[in-house]
Amino acid sequence: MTYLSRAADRPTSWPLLLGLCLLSWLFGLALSLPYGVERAVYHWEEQLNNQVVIALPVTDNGAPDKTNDLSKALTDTFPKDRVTLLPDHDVAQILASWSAPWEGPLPRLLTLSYHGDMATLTALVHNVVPGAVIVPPPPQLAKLAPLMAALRKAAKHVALAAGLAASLVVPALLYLAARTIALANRQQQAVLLSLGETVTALHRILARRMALTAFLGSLAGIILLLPSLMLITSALRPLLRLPATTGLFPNFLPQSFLPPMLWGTFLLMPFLMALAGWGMTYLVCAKQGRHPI
Amino acid sequence: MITLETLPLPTSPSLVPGGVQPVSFRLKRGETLWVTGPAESGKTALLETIALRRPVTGGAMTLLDQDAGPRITSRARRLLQQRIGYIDATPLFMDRLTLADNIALPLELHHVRKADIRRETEAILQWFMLESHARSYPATLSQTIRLRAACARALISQPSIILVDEAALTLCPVLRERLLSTIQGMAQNGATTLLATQTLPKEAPLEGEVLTLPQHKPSPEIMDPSTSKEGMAMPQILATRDERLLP
Repeated sequence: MTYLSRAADRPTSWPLLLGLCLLSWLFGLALSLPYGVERAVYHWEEQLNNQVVIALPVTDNGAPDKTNDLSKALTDTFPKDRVTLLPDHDVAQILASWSAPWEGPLPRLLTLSYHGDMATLTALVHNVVPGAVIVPPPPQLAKLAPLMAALRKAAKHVALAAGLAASLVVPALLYLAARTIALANRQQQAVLLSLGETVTALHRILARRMALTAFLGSLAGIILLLPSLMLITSALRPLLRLPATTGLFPNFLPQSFLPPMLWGTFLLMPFLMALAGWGMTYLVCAKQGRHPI
Repeated sequence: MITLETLPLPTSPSLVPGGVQPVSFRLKRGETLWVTGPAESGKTALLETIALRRPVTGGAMTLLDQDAGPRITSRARRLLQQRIGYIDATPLFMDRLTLADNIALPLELHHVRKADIRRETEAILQWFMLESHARSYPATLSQTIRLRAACARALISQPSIILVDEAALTLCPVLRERLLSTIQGMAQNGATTLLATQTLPKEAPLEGEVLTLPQHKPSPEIMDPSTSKEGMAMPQILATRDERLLP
């Protein structure tokens, strides 16, 4: 350890550590919230039955089969709605769940995930196959849609507010910590200047210490964020019909609803905080160096 | 080695009208100058200006044959300051370093070899009778010991210009004699010295020229003692005799 390292005063770093830990945690939650809500809602919607079923009338022997015509017409009109012709065993299973075992030839069933106007779909289907029966999806999704939209909007607003608050408080906290360090080392700086020495070496030592504290504080916040996200995800598990967890981090990352880029941002955050702390301390000390005691 | 030409020096307006006096003198290598004068006559300001701790606002100043006037660069200032040893009245120390480390600081910052630093520090600690305080921290020490330490720190790097403010010359006679004899030895090796004091010591081992501040005599109205005494009224609180305050 050099003379300057020993000479540099160390004001208590607990406030900065705790502050940055809390802010990193808050910032992480703020970033996760809209992504998490979006992905969770999407996952939930996937679990719901949103398929429109079109039952084609059983055709007599020799009558032309219009299944392919209808399938082509639907695919051409709604290319994104995944038109599927169900195989016979699936049709038998569906019919069995509706009533007593089906007697006679099985009808042909087409499914598509259609979210548009049912009248338009009905007109199109009846244009090709006049006797087709259209079974719309259960009304649950239509009722839940406004709720989901409100949930998404609320998540975005909360995230924006928390993110803004964290973004404003972090520079203020770093400035206060840097100013405290600079004031605590004012005399050391004055001694160096009076001896005709440069103070940049001292500033670098102080900035490095600040960077280390900021890094550790932010890292603690990110480490704290992991169990918080795990708790939230496990609370949502029954609602999202996810399998129960086993072990400490079982398949956590794939089911956390967060994209890998966000995890990268979390990992980057301590380094960014350290860089910001380093720069802030160096600037504040340099400014004080121009006006020593 | 030190040249000042009409350098404006702040002083008390009671001594010089306007509160600024122009000072000029020239000191050669190895010469000693005693700066005398009453309080607020600008002795400390002169030392601080030569130590480059106070900005030069006008006139001209050269130190060690280099321009140190108003347009001095920060690099030149730094290099000159490294060759100046200034013992001021209220020396500052690094509170987290021991007294010995503080004294060794100029050598450490100049990257002198560790063995040489240790040898020089021990010698100067012994010379100024500071061995018992070597491991103490400056904040725990008396002002006298801090002054002795300031003397040791200023002289350890054998500066080319030595500036001593009045406080260091009020140390006990033994220490003062040691300080002055050390400076005398350095002056013989070419160091230029300025010592500030209100009155010249009677038996100083260090001989030199004398500069009395203010350099230009003030106007008679300002300096007339009868005017100042008669015209000045004693504060009432000091004049009133209050029996309750008596023991």
